[in-house]
Amino acid sequence: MNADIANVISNGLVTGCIYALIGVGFVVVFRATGVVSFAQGAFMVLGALIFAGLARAGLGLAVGLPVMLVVMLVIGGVIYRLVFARIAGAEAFVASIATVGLGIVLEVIALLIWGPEVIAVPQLFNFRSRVHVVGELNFSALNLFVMGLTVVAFVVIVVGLNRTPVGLRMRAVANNPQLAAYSGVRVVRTSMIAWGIGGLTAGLAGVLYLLGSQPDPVTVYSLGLAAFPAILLGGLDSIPGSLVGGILIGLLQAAIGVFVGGEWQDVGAYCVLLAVLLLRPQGIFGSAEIGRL
Amino acid sequence: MTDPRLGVDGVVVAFGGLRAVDEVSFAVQPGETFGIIGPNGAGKTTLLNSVSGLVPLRTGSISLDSTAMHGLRPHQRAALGVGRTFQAAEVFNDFRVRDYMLLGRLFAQQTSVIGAALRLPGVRRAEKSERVAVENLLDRHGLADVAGVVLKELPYGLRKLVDILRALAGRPRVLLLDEPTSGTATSDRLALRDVLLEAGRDGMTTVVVDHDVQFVSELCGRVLVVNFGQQIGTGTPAEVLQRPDVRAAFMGAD
Amino acid sequence: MTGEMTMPPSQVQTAPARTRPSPRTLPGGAAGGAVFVLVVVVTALAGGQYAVYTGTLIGIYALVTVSQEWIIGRAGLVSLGSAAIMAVGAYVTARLSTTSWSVFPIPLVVAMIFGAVVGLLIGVPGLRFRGLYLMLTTLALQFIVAFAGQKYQGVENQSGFVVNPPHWGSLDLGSPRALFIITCVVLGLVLLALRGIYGGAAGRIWNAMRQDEAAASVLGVNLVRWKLTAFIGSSALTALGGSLYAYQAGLVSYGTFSLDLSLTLLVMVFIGGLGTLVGPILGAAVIVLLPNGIERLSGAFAGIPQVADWLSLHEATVANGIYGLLLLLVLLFERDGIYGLVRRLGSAAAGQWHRRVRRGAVQ
Ligand SMILES: Nc1ncnc2c1ncn2[C@@H]1O[C@H](COP(=O)(O)OP(=O)(O)OP(=O)(O)O)[C@@H](O)[C@H]1O
Ligand SMILES: [Mg+2]
Repeated sequence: MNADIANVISNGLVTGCIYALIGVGFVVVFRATGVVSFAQGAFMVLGALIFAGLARAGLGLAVGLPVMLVVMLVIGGVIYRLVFARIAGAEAFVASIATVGLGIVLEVIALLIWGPEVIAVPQLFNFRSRVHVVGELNFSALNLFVMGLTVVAFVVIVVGLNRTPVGLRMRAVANNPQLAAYSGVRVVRTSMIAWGIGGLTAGLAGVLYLLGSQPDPVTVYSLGLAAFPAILLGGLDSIPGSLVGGILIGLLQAAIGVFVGGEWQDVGAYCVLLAVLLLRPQGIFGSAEIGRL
Repeated sequence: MTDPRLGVDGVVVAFGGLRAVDEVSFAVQPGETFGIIGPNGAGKTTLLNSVSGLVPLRTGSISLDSTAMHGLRPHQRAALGVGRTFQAAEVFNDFRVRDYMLLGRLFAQQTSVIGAALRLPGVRRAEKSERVAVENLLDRHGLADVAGVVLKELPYGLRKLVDILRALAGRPRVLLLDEPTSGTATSDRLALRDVLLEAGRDGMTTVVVDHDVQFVSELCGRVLVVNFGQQIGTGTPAEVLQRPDVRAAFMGAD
Repeated sequence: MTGEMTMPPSQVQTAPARTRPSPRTLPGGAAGGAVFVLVVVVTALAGGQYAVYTGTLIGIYALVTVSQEWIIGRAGLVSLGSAAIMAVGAYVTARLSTTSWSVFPIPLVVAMIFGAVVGLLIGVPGLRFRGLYLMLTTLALQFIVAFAGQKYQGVENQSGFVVNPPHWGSLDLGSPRALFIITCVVLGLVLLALRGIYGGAAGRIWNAMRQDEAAASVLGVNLVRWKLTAFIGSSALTALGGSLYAYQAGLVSYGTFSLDLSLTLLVMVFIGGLGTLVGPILGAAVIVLLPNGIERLSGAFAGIPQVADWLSLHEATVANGIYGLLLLLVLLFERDGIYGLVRRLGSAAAGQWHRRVRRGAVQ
């Protein structure tokens, strides 16, 4: 294996994992409440800033990360209760436009509190230590950490949705909110949990991105939008789709970066988005009806 | 016998595994008022939707004056003369009565966007005469004073009546009525019946789907009974209602 | 879907009479037109430099928001790519302004044609879908156009293409006041045209489509034709706005036409209010004047330097936050936007007044 391809694989997998985490939260929210959320980027910013604050206060990963996750879970749920529960019955695009407004507000709050500078976070990892896999392919400790956490997050979410009562209720709400309500499911509470998961996974994605690069809040925020090609490729309503779509777009962008040029990366992803819309609007794993939103 | 106005032949409509309409065939002659009855969920609305072109046929064919229609899109069928009312009167909530009536006369209207943008005198004149025609029509049915009212603010029965008048204003070759009496009071039903009887005298071809067996019996010479998507009989209202299987279907439903 | 729903009996008989005026009707055109002409004439004759400049900006944004409202409020489709379509109009204008085709209003017309073509290109894939997928298509458009613009500018025009002022033969139309008048005349003509369109069969057709596409098709509406018409028309007018923008800015560069601009335009449309022509204009005015309002606010806090400094330091961010907040508040509490609120307050005030008059008469 040559060095270029090895690079594409390792970089692509890491970016792909971050897209996948943004995407899985998006999918959970979309399935439970039918909202196409443009606010994932803002949740990423919040997660990254909260974590950075905790890390600067001396809390390491082992404490800082779980605390951030809990805070984001609460923020996501509260936001659903305050905003989206109120517009649940309106036309689909109203809620989506509201996520645009919400994204702006959250980003501005973050900027006003923490400022627009590069987010400072103490070195928590020894980036140099690399783990050799095969041929030229090797991963840094950080890369392995990112991929490992992504796998854990997906396992937890898939098992949670399929094996727990909460997951069962969430699926009931996704299939038919009215029927779920009649059968005694508390739709609002279930939807709050879904939004909490959306905030939590986006926060996790924000932290993992923060650890690998030195981004400012605006860069983190725009990554939330950059995940749309991946989400659509996998299918707006498919959890495995968010993983596969994320990884595919991550690999594609890494390949474009190595073989074509970094400036073409975003355009490449958005061309994929257009192609998917034209050829297979439900994405790889999505269900057909979604095509007619 | 001449070609029927509306011919429905061996129509099957399925949603996944559910055959909502299962091998239904009937023919409606010009000028006839034809009834379709059946319990809730029998597939009546779906049958009308298949005639309108809102749901695809799995098999079967549909023709209007012996022109095959089932390949056409809904607006093309409307242009050929398939008129339609809606079971739920709240489909169009935000129209004023007058504008909704105007929508029924789409076929007669100037729809050139450029012409409207340039406010060409021809376009404005056409619009004005359309408005006059509609006001006259509303006046004739005693609705002149609600012409400016938004539909959602009308009593339900009146909305149903407006919906039927809207469909009649389009002078369809066949008029499909989905549950004209649902949610209406007895007095509304009498008004609806009179409008439909008058339309019938004028030669309108109509298909009425309704739960009110009495209402259908008064209007229709022949009725079709459907249950679980299948047709279980056709005949005069008196004949059909006497059949034990029909009675069983309705008893089972109620 | 259509017609399959049966009403729960409780809701069937009672239709609560609502005092709230229903939107989507044409408000008194003559009065609105008179106010518009009056404001324009007074500003053109007596306005200072700032008023003329701001007025032009509001006019340009109003043109774009009115055309975006065409697809959002009439056809029920939402686009995130309005800035990209403005960019198309702006680039076309910049390039033509330095050629022999620079005679006014040729660049404006050509910009509209380009806008219409782009509208057609993105409208076609979006046709099969309702609003959300169009949002994603136009999101892609936004990034692709910005990238193409950057490539097009290349190294030699990195800071942008210079736009020569509009002219009529040897008559220069590039002064701020002339640009203001041009903008307002164009806006006025567009408003007249749209009023003509919305007041006739086309307006009813879009209204029907917005309420229920399938049911509209049963009434004879060719969905493809009418969605495309809305998209093409709205894109042409948006590009026209971009063209005017180019003239006012004097320099066209891809950075201007970012997703942020698209979102700001969307905010203007929604907070102004859908279903009317006045709403989007109000929205554009509010959002253009907002930074100025914040400046004044920091002036008012001159006594408390901490607050004043903080406000002027974060002016842009605070303005951004207020946009977002306004958008949320409108969607949550007043779907008809500022204009709906004004009308509601207006009719409430009128009611009060009537009551008082009646009470007065009794006493
Ligand atoms: N779009 C759809 N997708 C899936 N199933 C549908 C759809 N439309 C109707 N059905 C199903 O098809 C069956 C027939 O429904 P339909 O509305 O045609 O009945 P109906 O006779 O009009 O009933 P009602 O008297 O309640 O109006 C029902 O079981 C219904 O649930
Ligand atoms: Mg029915």
